[in-house]
Amino acid sequence: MYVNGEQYAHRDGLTLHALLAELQVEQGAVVVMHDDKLYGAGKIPDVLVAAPDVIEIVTMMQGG
Amino acid sequence: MHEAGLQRGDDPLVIAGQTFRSRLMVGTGKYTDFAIMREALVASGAEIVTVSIRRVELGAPGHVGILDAIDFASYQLLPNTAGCRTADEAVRVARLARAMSETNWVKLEVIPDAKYLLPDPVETLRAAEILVDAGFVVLPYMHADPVLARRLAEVGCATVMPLASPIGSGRGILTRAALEIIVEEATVPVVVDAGLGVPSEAAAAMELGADAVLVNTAIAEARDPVAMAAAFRKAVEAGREGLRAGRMATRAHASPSSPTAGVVRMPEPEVPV
Repeated sequence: MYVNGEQYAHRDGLTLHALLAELQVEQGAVVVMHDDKLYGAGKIPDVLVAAPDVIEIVTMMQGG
Repeated sequence: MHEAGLQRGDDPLVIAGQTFRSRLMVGTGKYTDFAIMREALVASGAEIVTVSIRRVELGAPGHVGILDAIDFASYQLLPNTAGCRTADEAVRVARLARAMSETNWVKLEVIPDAKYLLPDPVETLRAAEILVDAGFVVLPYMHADPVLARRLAEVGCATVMPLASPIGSGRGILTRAALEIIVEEATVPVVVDAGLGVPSEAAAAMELGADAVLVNTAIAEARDPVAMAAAFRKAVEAGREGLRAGRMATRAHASPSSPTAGVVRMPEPEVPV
C-alpha cells in the first residue's frame, strides 16, 4: 500500500483508524483520500485497508 | 462625480454573491510563527485568507498545521492548489481542500515552472472548467493575459487573479498595460495577485482599477509584519478611494497651482554695461 506517496507495510486487519493511530495523526485534523473515496476531518470511517490501496492524508497548512 | 464622506461599507467587494468590506486578501505563508501571523491578519483587516493543503509528514508526529492557528469563523478561507503542476493535480487538491476546509472556494494555481512560478494557462483553464462544473467558487491565478481573463470568466470563474510580477519577487507591477486591459474588459472582480512588494504598489493596483489585491510575502517577510499589514490595508483603501474620486488629467506641461496674476516681483535688475 501507499500512504502519502510512500510505500507502507500492510498487514491483515489494518483499518484507517489503526493506520492514523500508528502515524500519530489526529482524525479531526486531517482529510483522508482512500483510493477514490474522500473522507472529511472527523468523518473518517474505520474501514479495512487492503494491500494495493493508495491513501492520502492531508491537512491545512500556511500558504499564499 | 463628488463622493463626499466615503465610508468603507459604501463600496463592498462582492465575490460569488458574498460581500466583503476589505479589498485586501492575505496569505498565511512564510510567517516566522503563528502569533505574528495572527496579529498581521488582524492588522491587515483582511476577510479572505489563503491556506494550502499538504500531505501530513509521515514519521513526524506532532507536525503543526494551521487548524488551531486561525479563527475560522472570522475569515473566508481560500485554500489554494499551490504546488500542482497539472489540471488533474489541482482538481484533486481542490477536492481535498473542500473536504478539509468545508468551503467550496478555491484559489486555483497550476504552476509547472519552479523557477518563476508562472502559471500554465492551458491547464488552468481546463481545471477551472472542471471545478466550476463541480460547484467550486474558482479564483484562478493567471498571467496578466486579457484573453485568458475573458476565457476564465466565460467558464464561470468568480474572479480573475492576474499576476503583477512573479510570486514572492516583490518586484511590483510589471504587467501594468495588460492589467489595464483586463480591468477595462472585466466582467468579474479582478484581484491583482503576486509580486507586490510595498504598499504603494498595492495602492497603484487599486488606482488602476483592480477590485482587490492579494499579498503574502511582502507582509510576512517585512521587518515588522504587523506594521506592514496595517500599511497595506491603508494603501488598498487609499488606492480604492483615489480611483473612486477620479484622478486629474495629465498634461504635457506644468500648470501652476497659485494665481499667475499679482505676483510680488522685484524691480527689473539693472544690467551692468
